[in-house]
Amino acid sequence: MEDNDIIELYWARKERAILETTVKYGGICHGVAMGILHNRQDAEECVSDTWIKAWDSIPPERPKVLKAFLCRITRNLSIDRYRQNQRRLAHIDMELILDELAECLPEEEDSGLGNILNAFFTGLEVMDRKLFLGRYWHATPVKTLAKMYELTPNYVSVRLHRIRERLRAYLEERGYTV
Amino acid sequence: MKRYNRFKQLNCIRDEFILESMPDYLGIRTKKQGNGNPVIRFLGSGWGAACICAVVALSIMAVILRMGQDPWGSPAGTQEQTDTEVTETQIPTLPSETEAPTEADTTPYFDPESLDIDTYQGMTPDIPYKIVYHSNGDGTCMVTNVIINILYEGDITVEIPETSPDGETVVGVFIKPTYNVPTYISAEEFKKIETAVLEYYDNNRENYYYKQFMSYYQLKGLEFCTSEYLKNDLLSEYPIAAYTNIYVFDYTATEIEYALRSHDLAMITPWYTAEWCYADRLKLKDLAELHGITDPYLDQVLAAHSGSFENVSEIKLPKTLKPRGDDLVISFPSIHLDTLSIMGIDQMIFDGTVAEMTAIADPTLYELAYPLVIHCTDGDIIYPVKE
Repeated sequence: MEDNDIIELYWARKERAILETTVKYGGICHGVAMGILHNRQDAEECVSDTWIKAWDSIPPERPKVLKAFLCRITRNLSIDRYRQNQRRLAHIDMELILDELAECLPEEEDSGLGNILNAFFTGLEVMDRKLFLGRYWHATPVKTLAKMYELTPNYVSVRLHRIRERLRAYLEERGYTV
Repeated sequence: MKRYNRFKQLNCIRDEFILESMPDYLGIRTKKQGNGNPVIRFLGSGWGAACICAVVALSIMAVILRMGQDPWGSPAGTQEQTDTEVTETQIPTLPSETEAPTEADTTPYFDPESLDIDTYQGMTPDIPYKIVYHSNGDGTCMVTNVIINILYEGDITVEIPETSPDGETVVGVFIKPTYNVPTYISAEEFKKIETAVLEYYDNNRENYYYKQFMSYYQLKGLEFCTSEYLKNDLLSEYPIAAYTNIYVFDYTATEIEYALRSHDLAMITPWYTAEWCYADRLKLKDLAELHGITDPYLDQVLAAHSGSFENVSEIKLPKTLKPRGDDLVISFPSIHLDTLSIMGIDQMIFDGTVAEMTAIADPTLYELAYPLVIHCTDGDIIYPVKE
């Protein structure tokens, strides 16, 4: 079923919308949750919560890209779950990601940051963007990224480090304190 | 807590960018899980494939020998039942594998719809300005910028509070002048800016920021046209190009992109103020008048020349400002005051006495192009005009 049709089902408040979403995007959302949580049961719960959240959000929302919209929700729920579980199920790779992000993103939440980040990512080379978002959006391990793009893990690490440096400088130039 | 917020901050990334890195990621993960299972690993290997082929071949031969007929000619009902069983037990294919965006889909681009954005620097049209604070780490902070909302309609009074939202005392204010981005400029004049930008980035033409800045400009001139058709096309749009090569700023750039380029210029070429930019535009206008031509695009650019502070009627400064060493904590180098006055700000309010303001910015040290009055609690200070 096409995304627009699924969204129409949501707008018509038909529960079949959730079924169709599960069939079409269950795998992806589960993958996103697993990347952060590394725990199958928690990931499944997050994905279930994603459908509830989507049901509550549409309407009034009418997402342009349903896949990205759902992944965002899953990602948010997963990081919240990860925080709750941190003492019990802290994952070393996720801890590393959070520490690395602290090097390049400001502490304070700022609604204006989105536009600046998007401008920065637009200017990046495609490979750099894929590496950065693969690592920090999808929480993909460095080794997996290296395998994915046929690079060495060391090369990926160095390249990520340089992108972080560049992002930090970019934000500092625009008045943000990193 | 804030560690997790940083992770969430990336949620504002555009949908295209998320999709761009998604499918490969899930594909690898699925493959990895499969490799982890010894049975699947065996079946996926060469020996496994050979075994599967052998079993299938033997099964077919057994069916042929036993039934004495073509195995593919089995009754339709049986075949349907088998298909149904397979459908029920097979692992559904991940949508990411079947709907991986093509290269064309994932090529980054500036969403034309972003031109319709109703926010600027994260501000909705009803917020007149945004103050950017920078903590000194000792309970005090500086106002490092005041971003005027270009989408706000009506007069704006900028009021800088004595304390920041974090409870730190504001001891300094830096109000940056507007730097108009040259949108239509002769190649000769643009060369000065380009050289400055290049020098700033260590003369490295491959530098990311240099390339980003230059990507907004396109050089146009008759010498670059390879046919009469192109020449006529160029002259119909930019008649001034007949007499000088010109750089034209990307007209599809959004307000935010323009503001970011303005920020770049403020950092790299602080001498290229709004006044200088206007002068460059006038030079082109003079050239056009000299040759008796009219350039509609140039007229349009001149008409649109403005500073982002043009809607600001007054700026209220806090009493907590303090001088620090030889530097004035409130950044009033003459060029800044000059630019502010050019942009139409002719008065500011200071919540302190004349003596306090004089200690911060002594009027005898300034010579401005236009008058500027600072209203204090016990009187006004008039900054002198250059004669």
